[in-house]
Amino acid sequence: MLLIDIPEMEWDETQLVYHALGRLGVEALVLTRSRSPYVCVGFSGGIPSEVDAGLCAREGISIFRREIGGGTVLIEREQLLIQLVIKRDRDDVPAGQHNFFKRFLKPLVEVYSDIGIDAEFRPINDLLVRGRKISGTGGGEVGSCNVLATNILLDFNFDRMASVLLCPSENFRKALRDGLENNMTTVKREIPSVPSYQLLRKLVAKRYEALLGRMERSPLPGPVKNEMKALRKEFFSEKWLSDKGVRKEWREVKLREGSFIAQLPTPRGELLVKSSGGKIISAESVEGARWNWQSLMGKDFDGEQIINIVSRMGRH
Amino acid sequence: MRSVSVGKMKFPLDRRYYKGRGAHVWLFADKDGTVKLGMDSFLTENAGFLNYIQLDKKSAVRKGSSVGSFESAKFVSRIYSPVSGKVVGVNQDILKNPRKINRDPYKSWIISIKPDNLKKDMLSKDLLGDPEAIKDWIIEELKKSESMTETVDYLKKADGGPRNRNKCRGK
Repeated sequence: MLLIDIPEMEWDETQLVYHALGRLGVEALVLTRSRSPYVCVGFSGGIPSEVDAGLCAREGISIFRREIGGGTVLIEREQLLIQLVIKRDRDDVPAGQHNFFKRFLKPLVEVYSDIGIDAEFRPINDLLVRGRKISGTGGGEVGSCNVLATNILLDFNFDRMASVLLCPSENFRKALRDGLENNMTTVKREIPSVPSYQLLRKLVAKRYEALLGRMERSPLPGPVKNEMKALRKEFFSEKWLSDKGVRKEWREVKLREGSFIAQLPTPRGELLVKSSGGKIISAESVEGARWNWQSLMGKDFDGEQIINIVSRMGRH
Repeated sequence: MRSVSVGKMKFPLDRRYYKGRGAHVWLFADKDGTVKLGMDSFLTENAGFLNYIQLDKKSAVRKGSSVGSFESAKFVSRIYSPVSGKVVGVNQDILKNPRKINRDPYKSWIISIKPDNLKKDMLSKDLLGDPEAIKDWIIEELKKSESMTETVDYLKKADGGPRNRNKCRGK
């Protein structure tokens, strides 16, 4: 397995690199960060329904849709990107998504411990510090390999994240902004002195080598660079970028496992719902109508169920 | 319907199970010569709720090649076909409601194919129909998992004691 430790890459290269490695069947641990900010949408996300492309264009924020899972994320310079590309048929690659994430996020939990942060793995694939997410994760099959893409958030721009996502109302955007701040954390928030990128990359390499064995330090191999170049045509095609992804009647954003912000169309008008632990904790009318939503409290967060329940309530 | 069970997972014996490329795809041969493909209960148990399925826009498929992808728990996996042939049908209801697969994996077909040579494809060692072969395969899959509870419980029931389950560990 290669250790490809590149302090900085162009924004699109930070995504193309693991797609190329996976398709070529080259195992590697990639450590890098992006020179400039961009929005990265997951396989099922759908750029047209997730991202305010107009705002991104005005602010010089690029957009990428990846082939692996996970939500829409804002990638910035203040994040160490960690990408593991590993052959799927290895004996030490467990079956099942949960098992895959658990095994290969363990080294990252150890890195946090090394720098004095008590992070825990919470199924299916969250890394939490006192209940707040400190790393993003996504995974998938690329070629003959499985890919785990994760990161260390040294710092994060919550305002910018809330602004790049498409929001059906300003109430939704405000709830989203607050939700992000309440459900996420960063290294800067957790410890008084933020370690250098160099130290973090060293610790990450050490912990993954302890799990997977010694890795061969390598620059980006020529065939991988060529494959990245060839993949641009596919990943920047109109067909790939315009895919609509999962289509729902409502807009929802997942903050972490069990925690959502959603705005749903109901017979009583647009309804803004927040959930925690998979249960509804707050419901309010977006247009200010005075409906009593108390009966929704504590119910499972399920958009379809909520619309059905409200439909049965009627307009009175 | 006859089936083989491994723990709480069931595998009806009216169909075959494709294990090539790590797939957990079932194949059901219809009387009209077409086959339907779906996902088995090992996959639905381990993958969690299926959130999205996207099929490749291909009219012809090759054995062992991908016919599409699905996402569950922030992980995107491929759906591999055990046969070569022409795509003749797609279950649009399942594409719109992939969680139906979690509710009943064996009633939820995803894609229908008219095979080029079903007899030949059925001879593949990666297409399992024998109950013992299915059982052995699923137990091997469980052994590869970090969580050994299912395997240990199952093996304890089968012969009164756990076998060597540490075959597959990291270097």
